[in-house]
Amino acid sequence: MKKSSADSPRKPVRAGKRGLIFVLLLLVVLPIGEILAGVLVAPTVVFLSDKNRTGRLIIRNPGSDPKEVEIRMGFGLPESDSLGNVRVSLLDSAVTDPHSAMDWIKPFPRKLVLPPGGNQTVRFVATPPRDLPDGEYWARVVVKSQESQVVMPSATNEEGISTNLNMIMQTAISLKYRKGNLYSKLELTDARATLKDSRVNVLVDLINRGNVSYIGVLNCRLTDADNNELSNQRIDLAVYYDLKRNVVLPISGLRPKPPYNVEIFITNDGRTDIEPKDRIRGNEIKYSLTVE
Amino acid sequence: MFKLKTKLTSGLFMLLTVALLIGGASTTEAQDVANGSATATILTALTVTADSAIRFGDVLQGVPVHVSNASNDSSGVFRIIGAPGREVSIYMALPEYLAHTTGGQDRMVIAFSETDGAWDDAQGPLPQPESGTSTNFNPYQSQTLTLDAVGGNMAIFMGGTVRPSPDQTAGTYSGDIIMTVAYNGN
Repeated sequence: MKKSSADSPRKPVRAGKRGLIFVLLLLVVLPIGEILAGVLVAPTVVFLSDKNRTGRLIIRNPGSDPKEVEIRMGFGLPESDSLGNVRVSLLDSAVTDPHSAMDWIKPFPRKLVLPPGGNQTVRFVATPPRDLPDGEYWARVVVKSQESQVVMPSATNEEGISTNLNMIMQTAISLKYRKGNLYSKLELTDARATLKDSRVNVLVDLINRGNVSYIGVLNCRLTDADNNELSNQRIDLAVYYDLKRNVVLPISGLRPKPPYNVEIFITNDGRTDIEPKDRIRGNEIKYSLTVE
Repeated sequence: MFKLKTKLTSGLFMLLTVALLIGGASTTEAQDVANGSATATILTALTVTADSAIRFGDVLQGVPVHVSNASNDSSGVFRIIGAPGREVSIYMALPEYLAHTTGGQDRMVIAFSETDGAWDDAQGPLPQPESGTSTNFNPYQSQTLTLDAVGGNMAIFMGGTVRPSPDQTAGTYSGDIIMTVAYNGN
């Protein structure tokens, strides 16, 4: 069994012209041609800081009909159940988390109608409370969209009954406000691997010891007694407080030889969905265990 | 020296931008483009679309109508496009009744069973509910789904049942189905 870790504090970097170029680049390379209807939102994480209290998001309507779009702030973190299943539950009110930024970050505009092919930049302004401790504060940007012109169906006869269901779409984008000295550190407190049928279930318990969310990648590799790789899994990881994470590894290959071993590797590297300037490097974790 | 390096880095970044424009990249997949000291990250977008609503057709007083989640003609269809292989949480907010659109007081009950939702990560840009490759789920419970590893697609199909009363007022009844999508990994 091996375990190692290292971490390095980093201060947030102010976004400059590169940010603007980046947003322009986004508009060009996104897969507009493949989308028939709906609203596209990018990027999938918005960063603000005490150095730069404004941020932006692009909403695009690649469809052929106008879209009504509403933007509001919510709160929701990835949370896990006892089986290690992770999901995000969105709250609109009664948020008691001291790291919630939901109440002091405002989007502009909040309502708009996007014409076909239209783009809209949504800006965010943070007005954090005074004496806010160093660290990271979180919210979700909820982008709600629907057709702006709903054609009501009518029954084929006057005495008939017809129905109209509005299919409304919401995307909940992560927003993070960072202040002061920041450090990212994750601790693996427990890990178990059990064999069931022809699969290995790995359950990993993680606790965030830093003052920012740990954003990284969880890699699991299943090997047999001869160190032949039987399968592997790579999962994006976001740990805000604590997280129990389940990973299923199928046993594949010809006559694998027990006992089986699982190697766990957690790192900040490999997250290509976040700009390098927004990444806060934390420790890496290597851990191996034998399948029960 | 620092300024010179900054200018060179910005120049490389612009070159990469132009190269990508000419190349006409057309994928949602996040990419790292590295060249010397310049690295550009193309972030991933998240798109949710509603391709079609649940269609109950003409409804008769006192006669419930059920729509399957596996009907090309009648199922409701949502589509998610994001980063290939990434996990998302989805949550459906479902109506308990449909309201008369002319402002009357009359309502019509709508219900969803534990198998009225279905997901399918094997569908392309034009999801077909009748493909037979989908997995049913309870639409009242939030779901964690993994977008398909190549195109980042996920189709969600919805069925349901309306239960008009024997004295249901004629007219059109309307309600909202709201699907919320969030990445689990950020």
